[in-house]
Amino acid sequence: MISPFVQSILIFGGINAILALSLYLPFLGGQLSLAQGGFMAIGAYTSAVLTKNFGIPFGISLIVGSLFSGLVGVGVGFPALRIKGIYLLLITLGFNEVIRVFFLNFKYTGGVGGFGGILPLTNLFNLYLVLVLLILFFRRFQNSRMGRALRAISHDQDAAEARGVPLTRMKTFAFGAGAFIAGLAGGFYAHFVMFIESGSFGFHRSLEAMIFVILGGSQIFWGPILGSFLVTFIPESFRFLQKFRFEFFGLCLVIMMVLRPRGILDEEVCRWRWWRERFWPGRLK
Amino acid sequence: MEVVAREILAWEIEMSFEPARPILEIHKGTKTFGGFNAVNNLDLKVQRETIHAIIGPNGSGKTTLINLVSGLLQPTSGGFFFKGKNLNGLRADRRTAMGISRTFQNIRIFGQMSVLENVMVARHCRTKSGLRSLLFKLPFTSLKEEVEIRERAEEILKFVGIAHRKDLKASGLPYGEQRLLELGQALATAPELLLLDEPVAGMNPKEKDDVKHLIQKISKMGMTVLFIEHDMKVVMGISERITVMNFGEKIAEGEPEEIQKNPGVIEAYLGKEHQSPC
Repeated sequence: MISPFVQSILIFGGINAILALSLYLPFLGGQLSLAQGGFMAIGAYTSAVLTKNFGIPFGISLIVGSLFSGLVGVGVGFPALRIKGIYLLLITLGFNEVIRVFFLNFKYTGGVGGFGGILPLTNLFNLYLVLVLLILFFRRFQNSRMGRALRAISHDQDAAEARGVPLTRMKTFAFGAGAFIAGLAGGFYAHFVMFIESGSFGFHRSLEAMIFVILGGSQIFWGPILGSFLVTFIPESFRFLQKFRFEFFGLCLVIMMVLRPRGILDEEVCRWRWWRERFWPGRLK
Repeated sequence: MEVVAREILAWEIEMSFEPARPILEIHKGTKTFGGFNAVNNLDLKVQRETIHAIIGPNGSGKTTLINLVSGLLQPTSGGFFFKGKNLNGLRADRRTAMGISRTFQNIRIFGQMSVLENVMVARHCRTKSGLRSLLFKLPFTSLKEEVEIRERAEEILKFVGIAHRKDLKASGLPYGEQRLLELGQALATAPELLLLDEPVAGMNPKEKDDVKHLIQKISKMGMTVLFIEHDMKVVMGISERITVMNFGEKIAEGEPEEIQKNPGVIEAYLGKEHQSPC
């Protein structure tokens, strides 16, 4: 029904969307993390080892891998509590490198040679099921008690604390949950490409996640999702330009950031009113 | 240091025998910033359900005192007690949960959130729905607690008089209404002790009058109000007790009439009268 090529793009788009959401959750609380690639690696390696070496079903190993990644995320979240902005970026970047180099040297998962022979268990159905569940979660989370608290923290954390928001608990939760979601992305990735090596979870992967969020818009969770699909699809649609397609992709990024510096989507665009005012002005009297 | 700690302990034991303790007690509160005593050996008692004002020239340590009570700063030494419980070491959110709430001198609302959401955030410590209710509820249904939070927040906005602005972005409010919103946020945490840092600064006479009545109404509802203010008309008009600070120390305390006549206070505000040379 769907050609393998389209299917693989859709799957990469879905994985990237999950990765983008994993960055977006701590970002809601004002924590910008460059460690999402590292968390993805933990989820990928753990779940791959579980399905390949121990024969555990995909669903369970996916969740165990993500929980493990989330646990590590909480561990990183604690020292990162008092740090903000550019310093948090540096700490998380350092942490990403720690994980990458660990898997580079860890013999059990193949070390430099990478870890191959993973079963191809990711398909469009289970991937998009998880993505839809995440969307439902975020849809509710954004305007829930906890989502509001996180947004308040990102505005002014001292004021949020004075209003009774427990900073430590909320921030470690956001960081840990973000790492959990990144672990999911890693698990799906490993069981799709069937061969993973530490190099694919390096700095560039974390940076990519940040591009999804910044390009798509960071005010509402549809932004990161749109951003990740665009970044996945655009280079593919320029394939006729062959070697130059990434030049055009870069140009597209620049143009979009000039036109909409705060990301493509924001809260206004996601309301019906915004579209009605532009396309059916007659209906608003 | 240890001598001071022991002294405070002895004082605490002694105080625990008193039948009706004040809602807030500060015993030898001191805060030092790099050798400078912003608050120095300050004793203060705030009685329940009163309106208590702190006045003093700029830089006399009033805001530092509020920060110490609300938990934004931790004291260098001294004992801070709220309803007989020791506050030292508790973070600000714990104190808010205990019933201490505050406003800031430079308004600190969450500008990108709507007015209603600003108040809803402040209900955080009085509600408890967590991850479980987010994960295990059917999609497209609203949570019962969420509805309660919204209703309570709307009530509070009505009380401070900005209900008609509830869907506006908070940063879009005019200055006076931003102050009212912050007051609403502080009220939404259901406090017993309300700390207001210059609640009428920068307002016009009409707005000042409104806030004055609001504070009196709040006090009648059973809350204790401790506030800093420079506007003497407001201070003398509503406070039942006044503490005067200068250079981090308390220089006078009493009822409005006493304070107005106190020579030390007049000197702190107007300076010493000096002999003319001729």
